[in-house]
Amino acid sequence: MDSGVPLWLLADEAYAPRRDKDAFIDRSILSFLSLLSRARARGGKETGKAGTDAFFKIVAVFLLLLLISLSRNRFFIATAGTAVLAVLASQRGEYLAAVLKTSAAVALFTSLILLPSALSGTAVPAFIIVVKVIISVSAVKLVSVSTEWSSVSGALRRLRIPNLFILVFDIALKYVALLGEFALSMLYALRLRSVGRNADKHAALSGIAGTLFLKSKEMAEEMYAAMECRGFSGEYLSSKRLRFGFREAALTAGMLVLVCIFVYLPGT
Amino acid sequence: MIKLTDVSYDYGEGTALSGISLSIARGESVAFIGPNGCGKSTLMKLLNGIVLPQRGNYLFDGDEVNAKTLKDPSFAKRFHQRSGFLFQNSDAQLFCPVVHDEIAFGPRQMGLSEMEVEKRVTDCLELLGIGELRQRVPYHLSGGEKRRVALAAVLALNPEVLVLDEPMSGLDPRMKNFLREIVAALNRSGKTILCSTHDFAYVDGLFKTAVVIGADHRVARVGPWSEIMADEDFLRAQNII
Repeated sequence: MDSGVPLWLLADEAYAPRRDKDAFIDRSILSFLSLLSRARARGGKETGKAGTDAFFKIVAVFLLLLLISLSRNRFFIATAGTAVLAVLASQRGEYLAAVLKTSAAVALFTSLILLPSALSGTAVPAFIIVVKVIISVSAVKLVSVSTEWSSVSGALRRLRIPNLFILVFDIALKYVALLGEFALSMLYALRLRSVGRNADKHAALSGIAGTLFLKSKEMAEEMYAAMECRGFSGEYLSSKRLRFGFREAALTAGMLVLVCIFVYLPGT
Repeated sequence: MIKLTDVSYDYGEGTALSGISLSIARGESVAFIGPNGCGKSTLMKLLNGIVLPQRGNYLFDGDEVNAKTLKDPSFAKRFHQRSGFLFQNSDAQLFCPVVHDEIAFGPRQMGLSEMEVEKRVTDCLELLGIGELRQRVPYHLSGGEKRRVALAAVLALNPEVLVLDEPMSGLDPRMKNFLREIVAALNRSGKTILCSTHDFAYVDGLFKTAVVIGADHRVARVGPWSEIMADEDFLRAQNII
């Protein structure tokens, strides 16, 4: 022994790993990586200068959803669809791909649900419903992928959503990423030490879940204490100003045109 | 033992490692130093196969470590047994209900007899001076205790290479000195030590070689530890001191 180092630690390990099915660790790692890459990507979106102000986007999408759901006029639905397509066409390729992927999946699912109705003689209303769903989902998805999460909470604040809700929303977004990073590190640690056969794989995963729970509780307590120390009393204020430039003006004008069409067209 | 050739890694938001080439012999003790954000932690992860080179290659004892070779469970498990990693955040490394199980986790997977597992656990607890923690819950230990338990859990696998990511961070001076002595003893007993660090005062004399990673994520200099530490102008230019 050298300074207490045991003999087995001085010798090279003659070890041949035994076979085991532990792909679940890699699958869990991939799931967390995907979640975190989405969270990181969201954090980098629309830095506040290039994109349309989130407040206008959220108001516009709510209004669009309302008008689309109320309207029974095919011309209006076609106009709204064209407007959404025109906006989509001006977006970056990655946004476009994300929107089309979701819309296609939702359209397929809705079509399948409505198939019995369409086959029993109500094909046109069923088709209109599918189109309405595609327009609505595309608009919501576009706002979702092109808006930074922190801008969404700012926009919600201007919409007079209660402070407590926004606070919970903000903190949840932050901690999804932080706890995700921590969970990923734990999964890496598990993989690095999974050097053989583990008869009780679930115990290791439940250990990770338990530690994550304790960590989240500790982080929540620490954050609350830090907020109290900085004078937090329930009010959640922001000084971010509302931006009104060309994009916002164009969106407002477009929505006003849609509202006018909705009001003046028969059957809406 | 370890050979990196023109290794680069990019996180998407920016470069972490750029054109890193290194050769480390068995039994060496190497410190990786550099300013914050230069890619030291990424390099430590890469040396353990957590992240893989996006360009260049990594040879571990003559075998290439890449996505294809790590897909082979036998190779991956043997590689992870031979290369132990002490995380910067020990909390993330401890997932068993008690310290004893934490240290026994690896040896049990290796198929050692329960008697041998117990011997390894006891030896590691004694080596790290944490015998009294045997039945404690890892999560509720102090930072220094967690670091020692994490190191014990890694050592129980008897790795040939020990990769330490900022092992001194967050520890009190006494614990830093203790850890320094342990790492020195492990190196004397033949373990290859690779360590990223900022705590120059506590690791003086521990490493033979220093690898300086610059803010441009490239190797700025490789040389004897004492020589690089004596070159204050160079360390200042690299934003290290």
